Amino acid sequence: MKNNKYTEKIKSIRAPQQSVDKAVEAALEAEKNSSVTEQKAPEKRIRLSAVLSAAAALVIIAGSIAAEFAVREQSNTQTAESKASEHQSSAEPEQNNTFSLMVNAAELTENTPVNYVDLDYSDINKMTAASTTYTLNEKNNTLNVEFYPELPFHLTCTGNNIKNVTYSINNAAFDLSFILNDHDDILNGENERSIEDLISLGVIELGESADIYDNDQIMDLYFGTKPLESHRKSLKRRYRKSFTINYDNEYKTTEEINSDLKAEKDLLNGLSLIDIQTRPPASLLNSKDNKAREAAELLSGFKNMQEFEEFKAGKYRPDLRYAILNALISDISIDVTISYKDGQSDKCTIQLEMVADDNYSESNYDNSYHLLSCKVRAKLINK
Amino acid sequence: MEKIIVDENNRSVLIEKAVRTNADMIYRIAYQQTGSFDDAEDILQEVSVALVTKNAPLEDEEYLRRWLIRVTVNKCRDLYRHKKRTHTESLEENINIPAKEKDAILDELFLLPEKYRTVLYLYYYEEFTLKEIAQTLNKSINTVSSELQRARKKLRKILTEE
Repeated sequence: MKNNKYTEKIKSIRAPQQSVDKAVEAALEAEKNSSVTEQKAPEKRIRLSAVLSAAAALVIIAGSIAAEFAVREQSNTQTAESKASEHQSSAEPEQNNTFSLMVNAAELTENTPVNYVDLDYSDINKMTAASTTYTLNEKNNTLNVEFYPELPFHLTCTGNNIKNVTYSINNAAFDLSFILNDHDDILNGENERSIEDLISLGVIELGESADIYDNDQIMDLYFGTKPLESHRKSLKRRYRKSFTINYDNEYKTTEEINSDLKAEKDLLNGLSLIDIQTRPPASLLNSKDNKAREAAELLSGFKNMQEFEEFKAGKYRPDLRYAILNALISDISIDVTISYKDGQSDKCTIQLEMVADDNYSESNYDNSYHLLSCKVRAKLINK
Repeated sequence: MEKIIVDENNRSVLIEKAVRTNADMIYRIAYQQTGSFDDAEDILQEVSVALVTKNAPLEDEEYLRRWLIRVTVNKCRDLYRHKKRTHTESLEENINIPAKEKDAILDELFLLPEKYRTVLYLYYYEEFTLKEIAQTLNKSINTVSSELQRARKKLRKILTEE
């Protein structure tokens, strides 16, 4: 047991003796009523889905988005090869090149933006843990803003005749992780597949690296006094400005993809917003929003962390925090390039924006602000 | 196919030992997940019964410990989902911030998302490595380290080693 206030507190929490005795009784009673049986370990055949969907946790760094993209795997009693041959024998002739985008199981079109962050503490179905954290990096003279609503950004591209899809992000970075499509496991980020595995299988190709985690001072800020070296290395690998998913239509049908989407809509992943470029961020200084500019002016001029803490305690109003988030999020866009097997391609752009919401609210706790209501949506443009 | 044959008397002894040895651990995880002592007791009962009905690996103490952690977390999750489905009142009671004793440290802890609390407990209290936590909870090391990192940020004051 490591020695700190947390562990000392936990040590004091003990199961009541009476409760333990009852538990023993219950277990022994269950033992009397059952018999030892032979168990057969369940067979699990893993089949990689052809189309990888994105369960994106957005980590916004320098206005960046970190997106987690889900790999769907399904248990199947058939082998992949036999399934593939079945599919091929019944496959219809190639159709026209088409694609469609889904965000959190809702189709994203030019006319239908999708709210992918929709917090509302007055509605129990929309409650989740969420927070923003504002910290000043004295060494780098930069402002870090972390926006973490614990909600998914699940981005999927499906269609006909697709060879691969490349995602590139502007003013942000992707945080790649791939999760098996098991509904219950995805809720807890379980069964995550190694990025290295997927690269070796040719399923994904990494694009340009994001540079935030090349900055050791930023890393130290997030890891505290004892940075986790293994985590530091994995983050450097995961944070990308672009990446490509290679499609293999040999094993997947559209029907399976649709059923997967329904299962994945309850993904719980995080979104973090961090801007490290300037203090205050240039997007705030130049913002057309009066409050964003006001926030930028208030944020400038801190000589040290103490001044920043005093500012946060006294002067940093929720409306200014909203203005900062709004300015940073609205800078973010994702360019999607769909390459087809016949050499043709399509392109489109997804723009993020905060939805004007009079109910936006936070509660302040220690160094973090816990969001009580907030909306962010994705819009499709330039299709 | 795995066949376990254990002497009947010996098995009862193993069951009792497994429950008593791990009761505090199960209770602590359940309490940190649910924020309720009553719920933690209920989950202790359920996990103890599951130990028998699911044929837990009684003879391998280390494996058993991880098995119990996993089952406890699952039971807490089931309880949470059940409460979310059946909750009909609007918002005097927030199921994400459970009823709790007045305690500054627990107050901070319960503001963390539930999934972070188990990672925190296994790392700081049980001194699991990241790899062990990942294997126990069936998550990737990336996920575990991200969750631990976020928890450490939020609870920096109470996690500083003394």
